[in-house]
Formats: sequence, C-alpha cells, structure tokens
Amino acid sequence: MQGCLFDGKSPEAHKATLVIMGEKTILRGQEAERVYKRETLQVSPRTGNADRFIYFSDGIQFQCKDQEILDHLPQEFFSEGIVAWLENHVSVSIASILAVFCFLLIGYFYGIPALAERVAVKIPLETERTLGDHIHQWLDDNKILTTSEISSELQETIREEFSRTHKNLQLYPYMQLHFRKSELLGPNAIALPGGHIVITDQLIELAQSNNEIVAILAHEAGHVENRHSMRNILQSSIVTLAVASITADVSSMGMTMTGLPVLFLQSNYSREFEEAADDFAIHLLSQNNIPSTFLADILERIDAKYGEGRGNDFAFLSTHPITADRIDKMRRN
Amino acid sequence: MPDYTKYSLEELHDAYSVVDKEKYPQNYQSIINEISLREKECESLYLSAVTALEQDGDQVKARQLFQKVVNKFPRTENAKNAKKFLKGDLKNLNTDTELGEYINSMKLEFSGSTREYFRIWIVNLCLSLLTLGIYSAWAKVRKKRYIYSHLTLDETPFQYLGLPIPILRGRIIAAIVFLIYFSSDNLFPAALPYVFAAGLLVAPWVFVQSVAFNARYTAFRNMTFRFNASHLDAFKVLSAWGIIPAIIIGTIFAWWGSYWIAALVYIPASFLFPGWLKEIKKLIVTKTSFGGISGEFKATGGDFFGIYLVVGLTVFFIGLCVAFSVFVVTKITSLENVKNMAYVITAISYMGYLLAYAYIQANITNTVWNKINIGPVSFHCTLKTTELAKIYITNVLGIICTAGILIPWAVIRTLKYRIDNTQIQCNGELNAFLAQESKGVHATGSEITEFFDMDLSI
Repeated sequence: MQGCLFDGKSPEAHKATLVIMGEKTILRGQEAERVYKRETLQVSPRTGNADRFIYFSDGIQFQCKDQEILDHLPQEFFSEGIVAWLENHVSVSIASILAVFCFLLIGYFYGIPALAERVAVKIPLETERTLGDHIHQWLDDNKILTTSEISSELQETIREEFSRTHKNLQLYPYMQLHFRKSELLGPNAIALPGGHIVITDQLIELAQSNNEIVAILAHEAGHVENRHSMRNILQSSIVTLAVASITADVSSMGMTMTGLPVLFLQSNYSREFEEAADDFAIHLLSQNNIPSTFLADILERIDAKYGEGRGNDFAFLSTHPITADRIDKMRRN
Repeated sequence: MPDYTKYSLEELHDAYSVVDKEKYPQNYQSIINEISLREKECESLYLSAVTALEQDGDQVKARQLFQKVVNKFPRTENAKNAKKFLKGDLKNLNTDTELGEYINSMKLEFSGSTREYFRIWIVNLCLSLLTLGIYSAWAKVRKKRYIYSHLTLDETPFQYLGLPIPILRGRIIAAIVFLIYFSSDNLFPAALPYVFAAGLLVAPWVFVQSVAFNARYTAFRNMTFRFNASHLDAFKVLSAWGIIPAIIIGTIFAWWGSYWIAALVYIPASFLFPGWLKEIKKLIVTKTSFGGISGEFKATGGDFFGIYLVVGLTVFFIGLCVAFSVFVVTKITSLENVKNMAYVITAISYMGYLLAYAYIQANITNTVWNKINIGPVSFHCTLKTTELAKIYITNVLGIICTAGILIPWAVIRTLKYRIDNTQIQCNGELNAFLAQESKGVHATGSEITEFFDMDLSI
C-alpha cells in the first residue's frame, strides 16, 4: 500500500510503500528500506473514512488510506473495534436515540427526584440552618423585610393556632414563625432553608379568618416538612450538570445552550414542589377538621387583588402552577 | 567616529540624512562608502538567488537566498521582488518543476461529515448514560479522534493521543471538586469565600495542566506540541498581579461599602478586561511549541480593547433604547403591557447576546490568528460576524426544536466554517521544526476546565 512516512524528527513527509508478506512487513522509503515483524505493528482505530496510521516499534509512523487489510493487523486499541462496529450500524444509532430519550425522561421525572428525596433525608435540617439564617439576615438587612406592624396579641393567637395544628409534625421543633412587613413581597409567605417561615403583614390583613392564615402556613410547613428546599437544590444541580455535560460539545457558543433548557427544567421541578405543598396543606387541614376551601378563598383573594390575570400564558416558565388549577383542587377536596 | 560597519542599511540611510557634511566630512565619506558596499552586497545576493532559480533550477537554494535578501536589506527594491517570489508569485518559475513540496500555502481541510459524527456522538452518549458517566472518558477520546483525524493539513491528519484512563481519573477528581464547591455554596456559605480563595490559588495549576495536556496529546506528523509555561507564569497572568483575586475577594466580603466605591473599582477593571484576555492568549501562544519552536504573538491590548469597546458601546446604547421604550410604554399604557414586553425584551436580549458573541468570536479570532506565527508558519483567518451569527442562531433553533438531536450537526458545521476560513502558510522549510524530549502530563487539569466550561483555547 502507498502512503507517507514520518520519522518523528521533523514534520516532513516522505513517500513510502508498505508491503506485507506473511510475518514480515517491508517499509520502502525513498532512501532506505526497513523490515518489521508483523506482530510489532500497531494500527490506529478506524474513524469514519479518514486515513489511518501504522506505528512501528522504532517510532516511525506510516499514513495511508483506510483499507480492509488494516483490520487484520494488530490494532492499537482492542475495545475500539467493538464501539466502531456499533457506530457503523444505523440500527444501533436509532436504538441509541430511543434509549437516550427514555433514559433522560425517566431520569428527569423519576430518577432525579427519587435520588434527591433519599439524599435530602440523610442531610439533617441543621445543616440548612446556617444558610437559612444567612438568607433571613440578608433580607432583614436589605430592608426587604421590615418590622411587622401586626399587634402582638394577633401574633400570639396565630402562633398558638399554628402550634396546635402543626405540633405533631416531625420537623415541627425546627419551624420558626416570623412576622414581617414587606412592600416588595406583598401578601406572601415564604419558607426559608432550615425551617424559617416568614409571613407578611399584607397577607394577614387580607385574610378574613385565622383559618385562612393557618391554611397558608400549612402550605409553607409542607415545604419544610418535606425538605423541598434541599431537594430542589439537589435536583437543580443534577439537571444543570446533566445538561452541561450533554451540550459540552457546543460549549463554543457560551452559556446560550445551557441557560434556557435548564431554566425550563428547573421551573417544572418548582411547580411540582408547589403542588406537593398544596396537597400537604389540604391533608393537614382535614386532619384538623378545617375545610380546604379556606386555602382556596385566600388564594383567590390574593390573585384577584394582586395577580395579573395572566391565565395560561408562559405557564411553563412559572415557578407556581396556575392559580385557577390550584383553587379547583382545593375546592374539590 | 562611529563604527558604520555595524549599522544596518536603514540606520545608514538615517545617518546619511542627518550628518553635517561640512562639520564631519570623514563621517560623511564613511557613510557613503558603507552604503555603497551594502548595496553591492545586496545586488550580488539577489543576483545569485535569481541564478539559482532560473539557471540551476534549485528552488531550495533560491528561497534561502531570497529570504536572506529580505532579512538583511529590507525596504530595498530587491527585497520587494524577493518578497513577491516568496509569497508565491509564480511568474518566474518553470512550471515543470515539482511545486508540490515548495508551495507556500498548506491546505487545511476538515473532511468530517454530520452523518458519521452523529453516529459516533449518539452511540457514545448512550453508552455514557448507561454507565452513569464512566464511559464518558472513552467517549471523549473517540469523539476527539474523529474530529482530529478528519482535520488534515497538507493532506496529513492531526492525531489525538489522549488515553481514556487518565481522563477518567481527571474526571473523578473534577467531580470531587465540584462536590466541594456545591456543598459550600448551598450548605456552608460561610466557607464559600475560603473555597473561592483556594480556587484562585489552584486555578493557575489547572490552567497549565489543561493547556499542557491538550498540547502534549495533539500530534502532527509524528511530533507533538508542548506547553512550557511554569505555574508562576500562569499565576502572574491569571491573577493579573493579584488584582483579580483582590476584586473577587472584595466582592465576596463586600469591602466596597457603597455602590460608588464599587463603581470606582469595577469601571476601571472592565477597561482593563480586554488587556487581561490578551495576556492570557499571549501566554498560551508564546509558551506553546512545536518541534522546538515557540509561537509568536503580535496582537496588542489595543486590538482586543477596540473589539470589546464596540460591543460594550452597542450593548449600552441598546440598553438605553430598551429602558427608554419601557418608560414610554409605562407612561402611555398600563403596567400590563410592560409585563408582556418583558418576554419580548428577554427574547431580544438573547438574540443580542448571540450577536455580540458572534462579533467577538469572529473578530478576536481573526485578529489573534492573523498575528500569530510559529517559526515559518503563519495564519490567516477570515471569519465574518454575519455568517457566524447566522450559524449560531440556526444552531440554537435547531437544537431546541429537536431536543438536542441536532447537536452533532451544529458542532460539525461550526467547525467546518471555521476551518474553511483559516489558511496556513509556510514561508520556509518544515524541517525547521525538530523533535524534542517530552514527559507525561496529568489529565486532571483539562477535565476540571471542561467540567466548569472554561474555554481556554485560542
């Protein structure tokens, strides 16, 4: 076979011919001729129809067109042969596409959440404490949360109601209720890592009965009890990692490739957690003989006053499920 | 009296134009003699080059002599003609000589196809997922081999020599590093500044290892590239003499107090940013060697600054327009429409980002490569922003619409465009490159940067 030889000392190409005769191979260059034992040769793996290289024991390389006979010489990497076989068959590619999709779908909807749930349970809530305290401190320092103007009697009453209805929860000892005033958040309640639950003055003022407040607190307690913040962090990180590694080839386009898909996937997880918290709240309320309509009422009122009536637009990017759907579910129960 | 024999021809001409003939007649005479001597020398050299070419047909010798004329007697008429020949103006050559080995341009081609690469990509992805990532090291080698072996220079493919096991080890270590970062980011935020500080110290090591690994395991015609920077060099460049760590640590610990002080720090820093990028690329190029010859880097901080300035001003201007239109819309209609505008604005920002990215990529790549040479080899890049932007946008649309199946297509076509617009020229002999000794390089560095998606290439 015809080709070029490279002596490894300089990048000049020298035309040469390789002749294979049984156990011997003869490499005929322009000036000299060398003889090698067939078993000392090593052939580079096939990649598409690119030229291949034969490596000789004295460091010389020979480049030639890809041809059948090369496969009969000793190969450089044995395993590559199997993978190359797989790559060459279209049916394998099609099967791979299906396998990849199935794997990713199962992973996303079942695998990652299941993994996150199991791991989150193993990480004690104390570890989240520092983070939660940190965030709470930051919110206070930056005046996003200011001192509450709710009377201390009302605060006491609400705390008692909360204690009465939630004291049997496993993570109840960690739950800390905070009353704050917030222009930015409006009527709202948030659960921070470590068990902090913050409820705003505007929400309390909007409520028409203590049961409605307890209902909202039950939703937030659901986030704490089921370790949603930790699970969300775990799930988001794994998803980000997975997307980043699959799109690593196109990293030349910067973050454009990973940004949107990751956002989309994370929002979906957020919505699932919100639904789970709603379910938790409905269940806890019924255990205390409080109808879930209270939760529906307060949500409706918040939505009417402060919601934008967006309807179904862009629901796939939202962190919460559509309010109308949530309210329906609560009324049905 | 100065020693005029040590002057170059240009210096002699300068001296001739300023010398006072009346005051220093001896100097004047010396200069004239020396100039005429040089010109005779130049003439005879040029003549022997032409003789070698036309009478002896000895191309190699002619090239050497012409190159000498250009080097020793620049800006003379003879040098201009010599340059013309060296650049490949073939009017004087006999057409029946073997031009193959002596032609200036070395053809750089990429012969990969989407069809082939897709199969490799999907099968390897499937195997990687099924093995929960362990096979990914083998997958990387396989994909790189495909790309390298279909990239040919002067008809010879490049070779990727990396092996899977070192890559796997590197990836395991990178995973541990990521875990440390993750736990400190989400569980122990107090530790985060220390993790970052440690990162800053380790970053130069990662940088050197990464570039060195990729260089060492890239081969052309049985010779490998090498990256010779020391960790200290990398540290000096990456941390810009300590300024970068100071800014980062300052941000984390909120040293700035007020926004005004922060602005005072950030604004000058952003002016220096392009210069810093240039220093990094310069470090990569000047310390990379092939066959004992290191790269030369002639791009300036000004080149980089100019390109980023254009982008910066455009972004600023567009930002103003957007802010203005939001303001106007809020005044005229209600807040409602602003919320809907938010989605439009996001879409426009995304497009803007792609365009800016294409602009920077195209112009920086062209500027940098046009001013790099390694020994006798030089480069010429002709990427266009419009073309590149079109490619990026269609890539993004394609990938999103097919849930990722078109990723191999995007990779191949982007690569093809870049290679089609890169030319390599060799103004001398390839055997100027001579193989050197070499030692192994650890794979971890390059795995960590791939993990965190840092593009450290030129």
